[in-house]
Amino acid sequence: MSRTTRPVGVYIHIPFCRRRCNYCDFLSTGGATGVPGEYVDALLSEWGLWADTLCRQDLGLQSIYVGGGTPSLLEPLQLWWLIDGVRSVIPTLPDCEITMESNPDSLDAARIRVYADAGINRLSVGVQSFSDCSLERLGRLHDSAGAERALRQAREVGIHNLSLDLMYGLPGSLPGEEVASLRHAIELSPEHISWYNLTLAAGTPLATSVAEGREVMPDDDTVLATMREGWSLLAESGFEHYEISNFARPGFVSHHNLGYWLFTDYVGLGLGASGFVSGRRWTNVSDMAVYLTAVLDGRLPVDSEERLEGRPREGEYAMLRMRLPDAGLNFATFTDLFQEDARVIFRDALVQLMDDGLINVLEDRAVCTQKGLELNNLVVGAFI
Amino acid sequence: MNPKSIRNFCIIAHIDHGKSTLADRFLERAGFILKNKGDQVLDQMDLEKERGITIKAHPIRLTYTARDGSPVVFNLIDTPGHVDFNYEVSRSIAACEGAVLVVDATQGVEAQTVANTYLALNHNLTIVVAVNKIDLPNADVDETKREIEEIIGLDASDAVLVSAKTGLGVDELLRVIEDKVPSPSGDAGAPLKCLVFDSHFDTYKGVVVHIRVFEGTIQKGDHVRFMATGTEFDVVEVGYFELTPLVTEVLTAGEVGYFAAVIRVPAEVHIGDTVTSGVRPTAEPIPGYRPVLPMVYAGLYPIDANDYEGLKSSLQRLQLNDASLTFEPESSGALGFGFRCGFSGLLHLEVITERLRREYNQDIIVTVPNVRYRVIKRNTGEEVLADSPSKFPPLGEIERIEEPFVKAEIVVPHDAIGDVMELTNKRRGIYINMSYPESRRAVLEYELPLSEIITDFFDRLKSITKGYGTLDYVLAGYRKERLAKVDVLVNGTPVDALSFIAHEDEVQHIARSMLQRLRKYVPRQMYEVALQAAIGGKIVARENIVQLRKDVLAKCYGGDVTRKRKLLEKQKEGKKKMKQIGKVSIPQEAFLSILKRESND
Repeated sequence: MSRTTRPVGVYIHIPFCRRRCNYCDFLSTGGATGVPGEYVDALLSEWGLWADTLCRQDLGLQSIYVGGGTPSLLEPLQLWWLIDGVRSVIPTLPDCEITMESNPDSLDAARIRVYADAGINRLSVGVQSFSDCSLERLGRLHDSAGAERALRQAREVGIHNLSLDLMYGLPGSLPGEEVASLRHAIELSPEHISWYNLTLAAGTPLATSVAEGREVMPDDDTVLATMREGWSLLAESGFEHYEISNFARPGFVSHHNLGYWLFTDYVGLGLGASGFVSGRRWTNVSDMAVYLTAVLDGRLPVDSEERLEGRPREGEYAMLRMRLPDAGLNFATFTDLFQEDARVIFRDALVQLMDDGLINVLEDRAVCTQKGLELNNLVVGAFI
Repeated sequence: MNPKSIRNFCIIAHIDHGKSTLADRFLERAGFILKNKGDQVLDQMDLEKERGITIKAHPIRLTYTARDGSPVVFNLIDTPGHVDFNYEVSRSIAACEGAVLVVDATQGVEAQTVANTYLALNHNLTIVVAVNKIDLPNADVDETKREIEEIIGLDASDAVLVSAKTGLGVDELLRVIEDKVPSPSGDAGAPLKCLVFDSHFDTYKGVVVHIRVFEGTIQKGDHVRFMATGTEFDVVEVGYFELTPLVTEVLTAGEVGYFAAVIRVPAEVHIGDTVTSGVRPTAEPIPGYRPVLPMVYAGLYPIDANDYEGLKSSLQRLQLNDASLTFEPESSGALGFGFRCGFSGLLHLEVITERLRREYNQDIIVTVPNVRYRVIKRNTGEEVLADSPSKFPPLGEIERIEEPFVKAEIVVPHDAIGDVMELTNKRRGIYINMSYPESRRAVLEYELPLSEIITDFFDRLKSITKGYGTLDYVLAGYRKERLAKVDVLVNGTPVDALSFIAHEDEVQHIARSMLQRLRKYVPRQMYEVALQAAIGGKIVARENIVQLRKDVLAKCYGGDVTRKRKLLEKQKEGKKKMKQIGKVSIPQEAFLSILKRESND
């Protein structure tokens, strides 16, 4: 690997679930018992369409992320084909992070072992809550005991990089319940925790329930109090708050996800997947038949794309960087990337945000204050 | 032209009862080829189509062959249809000898029709009754006829049955018009006397005056006088309208057409005015003229200060075809430079602002509309005519405030009298008289504050009377009332553009409701925002917009980036269109939200 080797990530979307959770607006189909073979074939064919272009560049595979949907619906052999297929085109960098998302209800020790054999070295488990009552409300198929069992098994099998997905701001939560869930998660000593504020997405059954008054979302002040308490708890427990909703023990940040916020190139494969290579962003079609037909015809199944230049591109970069509490917007990195000084081109925004107490401008970077994290949309909006 | 061969008439119909389609059939029978099917010729502006109202009248001359083989000329004069344009309707009707009443056989008689039919009867027009849409399966001709007789009191036994869509019965209708509508009388040898019922502006010809000649003749070179304004011009062109204007030698008594006389200022031509000869004037003008006065005033401001000149030229262009629109420059601390505009009513205001937005691409803010008040100052007794709250002297200098009252004639079905009286009482109406011209209908006479009429009074009246109530009003002078100027403060800073005038008994209620509406539209900010209403220094209502404490996107991964950026871009665009009051951004909708009272106010 030379110094000019560019790291690249690959995202693989598995749009199938046993049952759709009632808050979820991701692209996925419920009622699945597995992943159709033709879809796995199509993913590999789509990757094949990229092979030529990618081979000619000096790239190193930094990460693979198998997300969903429910990737743990993949048969181990299907996963093995996918990982192997991806790795056969681009040289793999040392410490290449290979993550798979999973749901506790579709995991068992034997399965986790073969996934690990296929190359998975990081497992992200969608626990969401340790309150059985909340899990039922969210339409999850597992209970807290099932989540604990899955995590224990992953450890036993030798997964050394475990991540838990948890949510707060859930409808009908009891006071203190969500922080207790978080504490419970920390006690299981995962390397990484993604702690999300549930976003009510239009068109989901939960949004309908709320609109019809059957569910009540907690008010902003309640959620804010939970958020502050949780962030403190995570910090006290030795987790680094490296992105708004992501926390890691030292050395265990998600390289794949961090890549999204640092402008690293990544190829998105599969239905509705997005990619970002050499400044071009694209999103694949979201209709399965259209997707399969395109790939079979040897066409990239792209639905929309854009290539940003100049100020919009710089603004988008700053928008993503300002999600990182500690790293923030690094001036030297910015200059390397755009040959411009962020302090000059974003002068007015920086001054205004500083006056409003939303950011601190340090010697080498701009970072959000606590208030700037809580009102992050105001911060990032100033750069657009 | 021999007046014996002329028939001047208009069509009275409710929205969607087929007036425009019927007019299209008339045009086809006269040999015009209509290019776009479904494109109705008479209604010109998009806005008119959308709202189902006709704003500008457009006369058209149709020539047919009478049964005896001689040519017969029909002048079809279009009528606008809303209370704000009541006066214009009455002038169009005054130009006719007959009216075709069109009633939809599937809908029956509707309220608008009743009002305009009465207007026509008051002008002694001959009414030809046509029952339309008889081709539809749910047409009920007998019931429709019964309604025409019961509700309007017209004999419907010889109503012509037509389908404007298929053309069925249209020829017969034309024959009935020829037979029943009287041809105009009037002495072509008498001094010139013609009625101005409309006008439009032409870049080359100046104001083109639409006229009905009652007596005498008019031709190129004539020296004419507008009797109400006293201005005189030399006629450079006379003509009439088919689909386009056609120049002719002369218009004689009984004819409908236009003349142009290099009139550059549209405000010099008043609808309802009488045009006569400057050399041999007629003795008496045609009765019924009323000067069109602005009734409602509001400030129009460009969102972007750089658009001021653009707004000015747009207003100038609109004014060319709309003499009832007035404007003068004004400035506001909150909104910068703009214009104080006068309108004939709220609908007129809405039509103008919509046209500015759509046709002229002007992003504008409209301030709370108000009438013109008379403020008498303490000590000096000086009188201030204030068409804007900002023209009010300070509270301490005010001796009294007077507001314009109108004399209103409200015609209502007898079973709605109670509800209508309750409404007029609520709107500070003063009862004058009630009469029953016939058993089913009562005429209520009231004096009402103009300010109460211009809000939603007409809408409320329509809703209470299920559409059958009608309203006509004339200004009746000023009366002293207990009024107050209410200022609105955003975080302690008065926003002059939000000031309004209200009756003291209603101040609390109106102020609170206004602040509550404002609160809904002002986005939460990083700081708590206080909205206050105050009279002089005294706070009469207060609402708080709680501080925004949490505004953060939980997930922003690969697929979310573009969506998030675009959302932020959109928000930024939206913010550009907001007005900054101190640190607070106020969106246009906030200003619009206070335009109308809620129906329960």
